[in-house]
Amino acid sequence: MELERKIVAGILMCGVVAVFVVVSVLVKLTGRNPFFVKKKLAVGALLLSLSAIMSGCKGSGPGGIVSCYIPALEERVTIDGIRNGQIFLNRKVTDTLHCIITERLSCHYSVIIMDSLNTVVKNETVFSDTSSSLDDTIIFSIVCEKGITQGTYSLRLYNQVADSVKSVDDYRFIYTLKIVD
Amino acid sequence: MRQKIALRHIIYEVTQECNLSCLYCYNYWRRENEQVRMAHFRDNKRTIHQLLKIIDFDHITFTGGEPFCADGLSELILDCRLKGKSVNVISNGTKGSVEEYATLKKLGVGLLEFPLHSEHASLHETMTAVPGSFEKVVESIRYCIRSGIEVCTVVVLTKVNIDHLEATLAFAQSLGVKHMMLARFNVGGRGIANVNHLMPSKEQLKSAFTVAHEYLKKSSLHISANVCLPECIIRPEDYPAMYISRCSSDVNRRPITVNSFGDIRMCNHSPVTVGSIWDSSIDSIINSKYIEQWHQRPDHCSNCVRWDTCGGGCRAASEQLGYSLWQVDPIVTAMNTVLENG
Repeated sequence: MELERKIVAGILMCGVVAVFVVVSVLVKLTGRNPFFVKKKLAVGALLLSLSAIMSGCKGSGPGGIVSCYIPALEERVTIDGIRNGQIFLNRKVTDTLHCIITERLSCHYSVIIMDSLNTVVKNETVFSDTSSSLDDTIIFSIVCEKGITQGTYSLRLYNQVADSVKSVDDYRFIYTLKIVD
Repeated sequence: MRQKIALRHIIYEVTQECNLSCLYCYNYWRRENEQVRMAHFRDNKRTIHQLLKIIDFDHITFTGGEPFCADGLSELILDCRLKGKSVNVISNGTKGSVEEYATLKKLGVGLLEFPLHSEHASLHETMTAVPGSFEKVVESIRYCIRSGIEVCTVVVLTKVNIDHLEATLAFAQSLGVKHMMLARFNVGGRGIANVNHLMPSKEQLKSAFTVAHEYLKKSSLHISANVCLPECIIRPEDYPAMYISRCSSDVNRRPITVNSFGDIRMCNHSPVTVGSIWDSSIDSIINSKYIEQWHQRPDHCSNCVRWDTCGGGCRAASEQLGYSLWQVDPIVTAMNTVLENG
């Protein structure tokens, strides 16, 4: 049933794309005649609905929440020993960083620690729970074992499980991590 | 092919024109001796297309001025939606028509934000300075909610309306509003000339936050404070149930602002143009010395133990008054506060 819906939507989509192209050309040629502009918006809206059906999304795009005068969610991350984007870890005291995230946007988080040569020295999923509410604050730990020698690293936080991270540059947050023994 | 720069969120000022004359308006072009720059549809079309080409963003907020004053707003939104961007619109709720709202719904606009400063027309209109604006915004809110469009309302807290906050929250809820934003009066634009008339006392502000905090605990209305406040004015831990946002100085964690002509600013409150998409690379703009300055502490906050969570309030507010980023958020001096612990 789902497959049929997508096939029908796909066929319809080809037709609607063709109509959209024609109407867009007419809008241009007529110097944005209001009649054609209206048609373009109507066909464009139909195109968006069809593409939403094809991608299996019933919604109309993410709604927003809020930052400053405008809606936008922003995760809030707190990590032990952080100051101005730098995390200082004294392993004489502990080898564990505790991390708190509020206003989450994801059910999954992973971390990658890279040295100055961009070699990954740690890559793990630190939180994954699809049953939890995004409103819940989460707390997890990142252990920097002795195998990670003292020095300066880049700690990157991702809102995906470790296996899903396609590029190390797809991080949500990046910090400089200084480890001393 | 050159790689696109990834930035999560863009605030797009589609026009500088507005049909209201809000006393608190923070738009920098409403300062004395500034002039409105008129933008045409072709300016916006060209800039939006360039942004879609060079920046990999997820979300765009159309604002102004009043965005419904701009020619072809819906067409520009369609262009963004067809590229998979989520879109919000900040409006004053008095210019858009029912047909325009319906079009935005069809285009999948995620949320419309409207001002609602009071349950009393007279107080709302004292702040907007245009008679009839209350009735129009209430109509817009009602229509959008009835049509299933997500609506968020914002109340700017000034001397004029701050003591009526509880009634305003109740009124918003009675209209079906689910999300209300508290915006402290942030000095800038036309608001500079009206500071004495609008700036509430620290006690009034704290009392309003308490009212809002108590209200949200007993109701389903989601209330948040979205214009960052220095923690020497409002301490977030005193209002634990309320989301109190702060602006990050990291351009990847805050919306950058772009106007119709492609000028980039750190935020919509800042009057300082960092560069233009037409003559600088985005990379050079976001890595410029000026942007770097946003990470630095103002002198006033140099020893403050709360810096990491506070970030110094609104940095752009100092710029609006002609100061540098080394100056503290003007609300600190306006409210005559003494910093504790530093």
